[in-house]
This record gives sequence, C-alpha cells and structure tokens, in this order.
Amino acid sequence: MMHNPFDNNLEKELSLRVLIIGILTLIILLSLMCRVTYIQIFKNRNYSERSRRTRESIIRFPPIRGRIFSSDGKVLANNINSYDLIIDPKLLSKDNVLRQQELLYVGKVMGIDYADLEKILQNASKKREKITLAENIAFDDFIKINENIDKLPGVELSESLIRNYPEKKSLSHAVGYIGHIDYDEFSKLKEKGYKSQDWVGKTGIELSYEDVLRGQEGFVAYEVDAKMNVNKENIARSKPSTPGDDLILSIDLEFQKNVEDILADRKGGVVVLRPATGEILAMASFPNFDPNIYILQTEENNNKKKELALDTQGTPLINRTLQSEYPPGSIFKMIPTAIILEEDIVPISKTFYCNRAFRLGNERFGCWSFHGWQDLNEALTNSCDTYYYNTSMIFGIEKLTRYSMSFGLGRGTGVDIPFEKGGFIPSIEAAAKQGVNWYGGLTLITSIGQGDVKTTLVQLADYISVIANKGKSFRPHIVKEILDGQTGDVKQKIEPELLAQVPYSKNTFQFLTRSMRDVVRTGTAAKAFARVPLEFAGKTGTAEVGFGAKKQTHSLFAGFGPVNLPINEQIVVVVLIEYENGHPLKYAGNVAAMIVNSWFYKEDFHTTARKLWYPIRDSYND
Amino acid sequence: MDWRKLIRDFDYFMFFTVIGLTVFGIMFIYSANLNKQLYLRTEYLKQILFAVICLIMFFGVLFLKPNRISSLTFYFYIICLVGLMLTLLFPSVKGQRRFTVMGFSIQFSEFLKIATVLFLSKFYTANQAEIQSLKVYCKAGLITLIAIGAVIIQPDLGSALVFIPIFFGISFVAGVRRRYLVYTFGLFAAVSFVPLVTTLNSLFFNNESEIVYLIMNYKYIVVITLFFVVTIALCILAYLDIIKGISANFKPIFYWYVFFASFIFVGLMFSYPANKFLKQYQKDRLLIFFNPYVDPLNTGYNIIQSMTAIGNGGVTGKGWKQGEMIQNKFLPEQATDFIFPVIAEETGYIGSLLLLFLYGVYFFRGLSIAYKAKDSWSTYVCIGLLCMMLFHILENMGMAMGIMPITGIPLPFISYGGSFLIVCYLSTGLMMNIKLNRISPY
Repeated sequence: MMHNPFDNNLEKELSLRVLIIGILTLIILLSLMCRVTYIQIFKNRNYSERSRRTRESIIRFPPIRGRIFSSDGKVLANNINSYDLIIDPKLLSKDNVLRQQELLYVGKVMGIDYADLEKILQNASKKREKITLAENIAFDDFIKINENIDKLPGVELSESLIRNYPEKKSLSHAVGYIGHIDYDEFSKLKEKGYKSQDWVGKTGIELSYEDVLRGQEGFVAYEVDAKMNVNKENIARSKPSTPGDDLILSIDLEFQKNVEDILADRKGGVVVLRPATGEILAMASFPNFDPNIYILQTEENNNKKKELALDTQGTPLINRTLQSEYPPGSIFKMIPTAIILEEDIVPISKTFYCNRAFRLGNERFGCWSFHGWQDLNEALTNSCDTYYYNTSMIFGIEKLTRYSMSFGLGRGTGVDIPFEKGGFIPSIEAAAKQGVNWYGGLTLITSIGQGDVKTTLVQLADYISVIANKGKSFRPHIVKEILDGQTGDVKQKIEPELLAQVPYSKNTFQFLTRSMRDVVRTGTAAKAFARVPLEFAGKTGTAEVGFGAKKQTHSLFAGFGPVNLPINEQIVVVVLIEYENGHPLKYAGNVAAMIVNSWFYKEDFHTTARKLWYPIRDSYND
Repeated sequence: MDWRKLIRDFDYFMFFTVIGLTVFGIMFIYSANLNKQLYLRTEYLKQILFAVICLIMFFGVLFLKPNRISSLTFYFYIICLVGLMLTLLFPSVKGQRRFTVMGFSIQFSEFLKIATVLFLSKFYTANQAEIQSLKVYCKAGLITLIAIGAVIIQPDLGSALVFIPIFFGISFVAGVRRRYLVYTFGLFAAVSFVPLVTTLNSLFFNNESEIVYLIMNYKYIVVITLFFVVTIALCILAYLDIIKGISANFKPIFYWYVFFASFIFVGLMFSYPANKFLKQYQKDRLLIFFNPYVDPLNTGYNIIQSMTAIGNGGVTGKGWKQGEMIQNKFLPEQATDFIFPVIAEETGYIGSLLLLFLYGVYFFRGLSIAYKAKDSWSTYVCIGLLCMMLFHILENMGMAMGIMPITGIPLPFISYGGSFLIVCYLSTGLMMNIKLNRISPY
C-alpha cells in the first residue's frame, strides 16, 4: 500500500467518493430521525392508547338482571344461584387409590358411573382443560360435595347467577326469556357495550324492557405483563356494576293462573284488561312453554327447545293474543252498528227480513240462523248477518273502513310486548294495491268481520275498551311500575296513554252498551252467562277460516262490564278458542263467563266451574 | 508509538462518544433485564466486563503498526472462516450455534466482518493499478461471497446481509467501474424478485394475482427463458461482428441490452431456487415488514410491540427503569435486538435523538478520518467499517420502527453481546490507529 504514491487526481476522486458515502450516512441517519419523530411525536397518542390497552386486562362484572313481579307481589322472573361442578384433571390426586376414591365419591353423588367418569376425564385430559361435569347441580348435591371439598383436590364448585322463571308456564309468552346474544343482536347492541358472550332478552318483556332490566355493567381493570401476571389493580379505571331495575306488571298472578286453568288445554288466547287505564290483568295463550329450558344448555333442554320449535301444529312459541291475526267475525258488528247510529242513513227502527240468506246478483250470502224481521238492536243481539248485509249495501265500504280505523283496528296498539301484529282492515285502496277491483260482495263479508278483516286479540280488547270508555281507549300495557334496582323505590309509574279517541255521540255508546248487554242477557251469550249475576255486556263471534270442505271456525267472545259499575271497576275480556267447529266445550262464551266470575268473586277454576255448572275435565279437546 | 503524539492526535470526540454510547447501553441493558430471570439480570455486569476487555483491546490496537495489521489480514480472515466451520460442530440452540470454549462463546461471524473489511481493503490497494478490471472486481466479490456463504450456513441471514454494504462501500470508494456495481445490484434485485412478488401476492392479492400466476407457471418460465437466451445470443453475435452488416452505431445498444437483459435473466434464474430456499418464517418476516397487522399475535407481534413501546415513550419518556411496555416484558430480546425500543420508551424522543446524535458524531469523526487518511488502504478500511456500522444501525433501529424487515442484528455499542462489542471497539481502534499514523495532520 505504501508503494502506491498518491496521485493528486486520484486523491481528489477518492475524497469525492468518501464525501458521497458521508452524504449517504447523513441521509440514513436523518431518515431514522424522521421515523422516530413520526412515531414518538405524531403518533404518540395512538401508541400510548395501544400500550394502555396492551397492558390492561379487564374483568367484567355482568350486572344482576332486574326481576319481574306481578302486581300481587309474586316473582315471575328472578336470578338464582347455580352451582356448576368442575373437574380439573391436572389437579386430581396423583395417588391412584385416592384418585379412585375421589372419583367414586363424586360419581356417587352425581349419579355417574365410575367407568364413565374415567372416560370423560380421559377425553378431557387430552385437551388439557377443565371439564364442567354438571351445570346447575341440585342443592343437596352441592352440600355433599362442598362439605368434602378439602378432600377432593381438582374438584371445584363454581357459583353463578342464572335466570329463573319460578312460575314456569304461567304468562310465559308475556314475560319471555333471555338467551345468548346472537350475531344480529350483537351487531346492533355492540355500541351499547354488549359483549359477544352476554345474555339478552329474546322475547316478551325480557326483550322490550331489556334496557331497564339489564343494569350497568361493571369492570375491574388490572395492569398485566406479557404473561398476564397481574401487577396491580387500576382503581381509576374500575367501576362497580349496578343491578337492573325491577318491573312490576299489572298482571294479577292469581287471576292469571285462574284464567290459564279456565282456558285449560284449548288452543287459544285470552286478554283481560282494565279499560280505564289499559292495564292488562291477564294474558293467556295456549299452548305455552316453560322459559326455563332456554337458560341451561342441557341435552334435555335442547331436545325440548327443538320440540317447541318444530311443533308447527301447536305453535307454542306464538303469543296468540298479539302475534296471531284472526278474523273478528261478529265481534266486528259493533262498527256497522256505530255507523248506522252516527250517520243517520238508516233509521235504527228500520227492520230487514232475514231468511238465512241474502242475494247479491248471482251470489248468495248466508246468515247463521233464521231471524225474521230484525231492527238494529235485535240484529246485534242475535248477531243477524242479513241485517248487516242490507245496511252495508246502503252505507258502503268507505265508511266501514274509516270507522274501523277510528276504533283502532288495522294498526298495532303499541302494547309493550314485542312482535305485535298490526291486523288488517280492507279498503278500496288496499284492494287496488293488490290489483283487486272492489265489488259489493266484499263489502258484505267485511261488514260481518269476515273476508280480509284481521285483528289480534289485543286489538279487539282495545276496540271493546273504546265502547266501554264511551269514546276513548288507553294503550294496553303490561308493565305498571319500574322499581329502582338498588333502593327498591318506585322509579317510574307507567301512566295511561290515550290511544284511540272517537268523536261519536254518547247515544251511540249507550245504544252499543245496551245492545251488548242484551247479547249477554237474552242474546247469543245468554246461556253462557246465565249463572253469572253480573251486568256484563259483550258480543260473541265466530271466525271462519278456510273455504269449502276445509272451512273451520274459531270461537270468539269480547265483552266488558259490569256496566252498572263505574268504569274503573270494569274489565274487558276477549277470548278466542281456535278450531271450535261447533264443539260445545270450546265455546268462548262459557270460558269468558268463567273468567268474569273468577275475577269478580276471586274464585278459582273449580269453584267457578261448579258454580256455573260447567264440566270439569282433564282435557277439553275431544 | 510516541506518547506525546498519542495524546495530541487522539480523537477525544470519537472516544467519548463511544464511551457514552457504551454507558448508555449498559444502563439500558440493566433496565431491560430488571424484571427478567436471574441469569439475564446479570447481563449488565457481563457487559461492563466486556467493555473493560474492549477498552484494553482498543488501546492495544492503537499500538499496532498499520502495515503489520495489513500483513496479518489474510490469516485473520482464514481464522475466522475456520472458526465458523468449527462452530457448525456445536449444537443448534434456538436456531443459533455458538462456538463455546470454557464458558466463553465467540461469534466468529462478527469478527469475520472486520476481517473481510481488512481483506477487501488490502486486496483493492494491492490491485490499485487494475482497479477498473472485471477480474479484480470478481475476485473481490469472491472474497465477500465466501464470507457470506460461511455465515449463511450457520444459519445467520442477518449477519450475512452486513457483508453486502461492506462490499459495495469499499468497492465504490476504491473506484470500481460503476457499471459493475450497478450490475451486481441489479442481480441482487432480480434474485429477490420472485420471493418478493410471491410475498406481495399472498399479502395483497390473496394469492390470486394473475400476473404472479403467469410468472410462476412452468410454461411461461420456459417462454421467458427462451426469449432472453435468444435475444442475448443475437445481441452478443451482433456485438462481436459475427453477424455482419450492422452499423457500428448500434453497438452500444447491443452492449447495454446484454448488460441489463443478462442480469435480469441470470437473477431470475436464481430467483426461483432462492424462493424455494427461503424458509417460510423468513418470507413471513418479509410479509410482516409490509404489514405487521396481518398476524398481530404471532409473526407481527414483535414489530407491533416494539413500535408501541417506541411510540409510548413520547417526548420525555417514561424514565429509566419505568418503561411501561418494557418492564412488563412485552418485547422479546430486549437487551440485544430490541434494545432501541427500551431506550426510546424510557428516555423518549430526547433519548432517541441523543442516540442518533451520538452516532452522528461517531460517523462524522470516522468519515473525517477516512477523508484525511494518508493512503487508500486507510480510507477503504474506514469506509468499510463505517458501512458495517451504518448498516447495523439502519437495520436494527429500522426494524424496531417498522421500516426494515426483521433480522436480529445488534445495535453498535449498545446491544448486549461481547463479540460484537469487541468488534465495535476494534473498529474504532483501527480508525483511531489510522488517524494516529497519518503522516501530516492537517
């Protein structure tokens, strides 16, 4: 190297190249500096947040869900302790004899064969995790295990709160049940702080009052290291959970149970409400179900759930009082009656002759009986179809539609139980939308509540309320009060909310009340109410479904009263029994009479039935 | 060595920068291992011991004559290669082999870096007259390739990469024809083409890119190969006047066509085997370099946690021993590969800038020594060593900040590790030696 004398020119070039390397070095160091600046200065907030999240482990305390009570203070939904038996195969005795003793004891208490237990454990130990041997074990078993827990290493009892519906099938549709949040619900409720393993109301009040019942979730934040070892509790970021608020329903549980006993095993629904406030006093739908099977994931429960879901004949999960739409049949006749009274087109004393039939062109429209000359009062009392065929041809479909709507039919009542159907009232416009030209025959069948007329039982109860209240009704509701979950004080009272208001004259309602009273006194429901010494008013109905040979009938009764008592003591009763088909034991009038008797005399089914000379049977289906 | 000369010409700036960096390093090795297992917690003590040994070696190097160093270069190179071969006999622990004698492990791959710098410098100096010839360049390339090969079979891909900037740096400064360097660089780019493209394909196109499908298709490989072979052959024939009747004006076109087409062709030919040769985890590293959030809990974990730790530091940092991410052990290899996040989180932006500033001072001093060196050998050595350091810094810090792919190579003077610390001090000693032996200080 020394033998290479430095050429001046070469040296210059060399210096230049060193300079280039120097510039390169500067660029690299500066770019590193830029990157550091970007991360530490501009992105500091993002990374600090990320760092905090990385170092934080949050243990959530789910809130205790609010309870549901009936108005007479009975529990409809609460939370009970559940004990799960868990075995950690890794912690079981290493000594074979001790281990066998241990497993034999657990097996004896739980009623599991020792060999089966070993098999279960073998499968679990492959996965190297704890195994939940039994969920929600009986309290006796819990005691037996718990007193020996010291001698049973690897056996754990975990305690948790689970939802419980002590009244089982009573009011199951209205109360509903809770379940694991599903994908759709989670995507909607994520913003409210729900987590993917939370429970959420699925139907009934559990769903509609989810926000009230749930309460506020609490959590504890821990600072952890990379191996999830806890360093310390971060008190600043912790929050205790607040229990959900309790609900008091307007349901009188004793009466509700009587109503369910009276309805027995007839497919159908019953709604009883107080017209003065809209409070629902009883709401029954049969077939019903036990909501408890949705809580614990046992094989037995899963089978039951499957059974319920697959029962397309009985559809036990459908709340027949508001999720099913039925033609109201003759119960609809108060509307054409109101038109005649209000509009002054047909004099009320005008009579029409009923010879079981009415002819419109080539079509024949029948009446259910021979009535002879009928005026308005007689027509309603005897439920004469021919009279309404005649009158409806005079006043027409437009009025029928308008009056029906004003009485609150054709749209949901907004009752505080989810999945309410809206019903349907035919009109020329609606028919035109479906491409049907309106013709007289449709007016005729609409006037007797058949054809396309669809209502739910809650709507009918609301419609009867309008008559009972003489022109107005209050939104039907089942929740009466919200109690604070911590203090138990009344947090909110559900006030009656005006729903329908009709400007019809007092005379109209007086006439309707009198005529409906006549129905019960001397008319179509007279026999059923013969032994009920109350001034009840009502209307029977028969809803026809299907055509020709497949034609079947539902039996309906809707009424209110007693009319001699002040309005706040009156009740509205709506009863529907499916597929009556003339079967005397399925006649809705009798059921309604028993319900009315049961409410006013506080008598149970057996007393009532004996009093009303009604047969007591195990099943009313044959 | 004259004592007075030593005291007068000794580069105090450089020396105290190095001492400062080492102290900085020891402090944060201590902090990084504070909550770790016992054997890791004593690492800082070992590092102090290494630093003392380093200082002794550093001053030892000062007293060597440059021509003595130069004459021993070849043996040093051979010793390192033999050492690496012997290392292969040791068992592989966590994918790494260590040459361990009586409890001390020596990493010959680190020493080979210095040896290669010295060897290349000596080689280029000896062949200064024919520096522009292809033969010299190829021989120099061979020296580097042997070193790379010896390191890569360890296997230690990260350390092998360090030889590339060393080679380019020294070759560039030595005045090798620019087109050779471009050709070599192009060759590297072409070799990495297929692994890169397949990685991008799996990252952004869910392995469904039609172009990549064509490239990887057997038929198209044949077509491309034939195309290149035929055109290159034709151009060579035309260039060498075997095909007659083509104007001489076109010759440069043929020359440059062969130049570019051949490295693309040869590179691609090596690219397919290279794609097979690279392990999946190495390709994964390439992939997470493009987007660490592809696999945040597994392969992208380190890079995300390291960037989080750096970003969490903010301006003033969390304080020594107070790093929130660091003290909770969210980063692996905190004392070696990921020591920069420790410093960045605990001292913040100020500390990061200080670190970069110290490196800046070091490079400034080193470059000025190279600039003022009395002969070309001295310049080459300085540049080679500085290129090595620069690559270490760029790769280590860049990796921690997500701008370079992950390869575990240490940060000079800071990271825990005896061999590399010694290499750093020896390098500094060599540069200082060159400064002290200058004939006429300016």
